[in-house]
Amino acid sequence: MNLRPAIVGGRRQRPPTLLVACVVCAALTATGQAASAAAGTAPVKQTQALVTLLREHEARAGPGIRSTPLQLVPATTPITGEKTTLPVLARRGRWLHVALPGRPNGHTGWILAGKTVRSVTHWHIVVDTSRRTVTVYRAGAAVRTFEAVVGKPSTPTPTGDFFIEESIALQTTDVGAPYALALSARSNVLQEFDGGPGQIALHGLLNVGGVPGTAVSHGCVRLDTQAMRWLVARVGPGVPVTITRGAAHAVRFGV
Amino acid sequence: MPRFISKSGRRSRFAVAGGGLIALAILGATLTLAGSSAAASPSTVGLGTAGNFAVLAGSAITDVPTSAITGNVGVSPLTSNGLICAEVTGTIYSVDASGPLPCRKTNAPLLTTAKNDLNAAYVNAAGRLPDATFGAGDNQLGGQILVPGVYRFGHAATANLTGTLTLNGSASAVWIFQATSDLVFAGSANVHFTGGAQACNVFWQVTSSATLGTGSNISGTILALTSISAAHGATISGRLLAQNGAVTLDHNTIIRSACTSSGGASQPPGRALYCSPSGQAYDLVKGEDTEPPYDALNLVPAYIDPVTGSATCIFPSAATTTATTTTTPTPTPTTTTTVTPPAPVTPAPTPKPAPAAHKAKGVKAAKHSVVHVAPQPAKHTAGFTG
Repeated sequence: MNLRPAIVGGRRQRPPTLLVACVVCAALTATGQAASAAAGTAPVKQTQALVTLLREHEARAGPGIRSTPLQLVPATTPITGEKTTLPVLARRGRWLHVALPGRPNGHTGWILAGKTVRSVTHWHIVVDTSRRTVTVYRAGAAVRTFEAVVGKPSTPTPTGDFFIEESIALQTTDVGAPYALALSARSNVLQEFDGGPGQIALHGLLNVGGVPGTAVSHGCVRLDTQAMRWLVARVGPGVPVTITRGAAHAVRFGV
Repeated sequence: MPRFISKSGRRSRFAVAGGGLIALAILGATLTLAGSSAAASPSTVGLGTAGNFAVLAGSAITDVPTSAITGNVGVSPLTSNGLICAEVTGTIYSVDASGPLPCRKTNAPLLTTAKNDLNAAYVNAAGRLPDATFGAGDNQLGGQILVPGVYRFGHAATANLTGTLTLNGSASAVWIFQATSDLVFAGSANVHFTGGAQACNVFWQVTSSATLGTGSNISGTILALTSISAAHGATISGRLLAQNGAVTLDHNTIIRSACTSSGGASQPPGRALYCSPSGQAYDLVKGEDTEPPYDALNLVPAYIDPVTGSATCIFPSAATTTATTTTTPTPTPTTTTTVTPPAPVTPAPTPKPAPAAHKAKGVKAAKHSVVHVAPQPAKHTAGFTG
């Protein structure tokens, strides 16, 4: 009998229909090798509070019912239909300051804590578009660094503090297979792409290609299959993703 | 308990005789109170899929830009839609390819279902027996302080509401207004809530058309049989749902309001949230935690925050958690969550390692840290930027 966890969904066998549209611009030469973990000081905080929505919430500009309503935050995510999980930036009384997905990039709002499940993650992903690397942190310490394909100059990967919106198991024939970690970030150049909202994702190289360490994508971050398998086994919705362009970045997440 | 409070704000009381009550009060307007004044709040009006829309029209949506709409928009069976994507935080549905891109989605069956649900909601609201009836006149609602109930009113010479209507009730209290003719909100009219009442529980059933005056600030879902016209700058916290006619906009702000937590139970009736020792949450039928296979998981009821009513698997005693590692380079940090619930009411479960599939290799899962979510297959197509 299958368990029915509220947060954790078992792997379902329903064939995915996601089409990840990416440009094929280089031969598939992924090494699949993880670089050594970055040493030195940790640029991220050790934990990040998360909140999972049990129903639709109305986000407001401030922590009060009289604050300006901003948007409705659905209880489920648009692609997989899983429960929405958001990073919590602050808490004031019964109000939670949360990061929100979509445009404008990095926008936030306040939601009521009712009808939510709160938790915490120790994972944090940092994408450095200058070094073209993805470094994964656990409890503030770098545990793995991967080379990645990042956005080309005309369609750069947007920088800022984001989070994983959805973890998606793609079909082997899908572009970007085998997995995609859809981010809260949206392209600052492409308002729409292949019927989608110009959503940025960390995804695989299958059926799209690219050489890790290059900047040739439309904005997405591509990792080889081994790296994606390693990632999706550890991180999921709500995990912070900081995208920087080399310079020191003040991470605002970390409540 | 009376169903309304007079315009002066003083609560009116009516004697109950012979098990029935008919009371007549004249305080600026003629009010007829029918039925038991002690009746509870009416049940809500189910909107079905129409509830997903901020604006739904039968023939057209016109707009003097720029309006700001939060929620979905749709027109059916006709197709005229004068909105642009930048005005809508949501999806613009159309029965054909006539809407603006990229936010347009062509989905005629969805719109047909929504319109059918709208019709059902309209019939539902119109069929409720009124607790109080306001006769034809002018400004029947202005200055009133109304408790939850069903209120019916007739045609107004100028406007049904001028000034402020106050709705006083709890977060779950429901108001249903039945306009037997037009519904007209005068310029700058507004609906004010006290006692925790919410816009999501207010319904305006309009037999003809509704008009929202310039700068008015109206709350609730308007279910109009014909059309809805919002004048310049009107703000609506709710929905504009016109069954047969058009919705006319002019620099409006429309936010499809959702009900916020009313405290109390955080699960639907009959269900409850349980937590495993590792902090994993399970949404189960009440009592199912003691039945196979869940009985093997040592589940305990979730902690209910007494302030917010939210269910959580972060127990008060777990405010400070420790994560340990068994391999380098991951350190052994002591981490403190910033979520600090009030005094404990439920003992924390005995911590156990998280299931193997949910923890990092060589790293013990921190107590009550988030449980990893396995990748899920896509239910809907989407295009990443690649």
